[in-house]
Amino acid sequence: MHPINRELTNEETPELIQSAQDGDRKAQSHLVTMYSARIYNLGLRMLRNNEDAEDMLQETFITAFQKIHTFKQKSTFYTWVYRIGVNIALGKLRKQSRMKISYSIQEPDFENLHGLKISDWPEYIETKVSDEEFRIALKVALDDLDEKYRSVFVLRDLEGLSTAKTAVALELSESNVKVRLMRARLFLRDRMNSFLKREGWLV
Amino acid sequence: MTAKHDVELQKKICMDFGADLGSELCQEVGSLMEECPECKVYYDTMKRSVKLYRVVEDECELPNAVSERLFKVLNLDELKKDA
Repeated sequence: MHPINRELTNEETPELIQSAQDGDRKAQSHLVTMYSARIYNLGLRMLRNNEDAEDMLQETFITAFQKIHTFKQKSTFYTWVYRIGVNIALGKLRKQSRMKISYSIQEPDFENLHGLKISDWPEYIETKVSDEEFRIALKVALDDLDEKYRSVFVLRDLEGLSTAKTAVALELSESNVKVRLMRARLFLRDRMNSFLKREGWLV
Repeated sequence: MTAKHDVELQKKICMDFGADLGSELCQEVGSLMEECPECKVYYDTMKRSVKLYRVVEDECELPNAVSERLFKVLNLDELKKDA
């Protein structure tokens, strides 16, 4: 056992990881404190409800501590545990998608946009994010986005992962990530546009 | 090269490279799109929708009850206050 004798900080150090790998419960507890909120937020974004996000959070840390002896410290512990979280979330999404209606995504044909009247969004749209109905509309559109596109959008645009890291996490090619990301963005844009039209916010 | 070819090229660039929305590459695409005002509006509103999502989907704090259940399921609840 390598108990941590120094003051714990919010930095992930090799000593902290080694202690956790050696079964030091205080070190493990510290890792949970450091990363549980971030993993929970990942779960919320990917799974879209509190209960599933909590299940994913628990499963992630249970799995991480069961397998911690296999962690080689080639990446940070956070990257490693994050990947476990993504895999658990994807497993849940795959189960759910068997029961869910998926919306088809059509690529916009930019050539056909020539000559069409496409309304710009008013400047004040950004201030509308505090409007409950508007927030719900945004969230519902993301809920409706097919899991295979949503996962890419969440990791790239919300979590801020690079294309390469997203590709590794989702076991996709980088080009696949790029195409799915663009389709996700366009789907969400179109849904938002429809909402704004319905509400009379577009001229 | 015609305006239509430009637009097709812009589309391909963004599709193929999946560039970050604020990146130099996408800014170049944006400037190219000025030849097609409709495409530009479409593209700009797509960027704005992503920005809106970053606000709406901002990180929230871990609820205390969730944290407590997590520590309990990991048999770390005795250590929670020390962590």
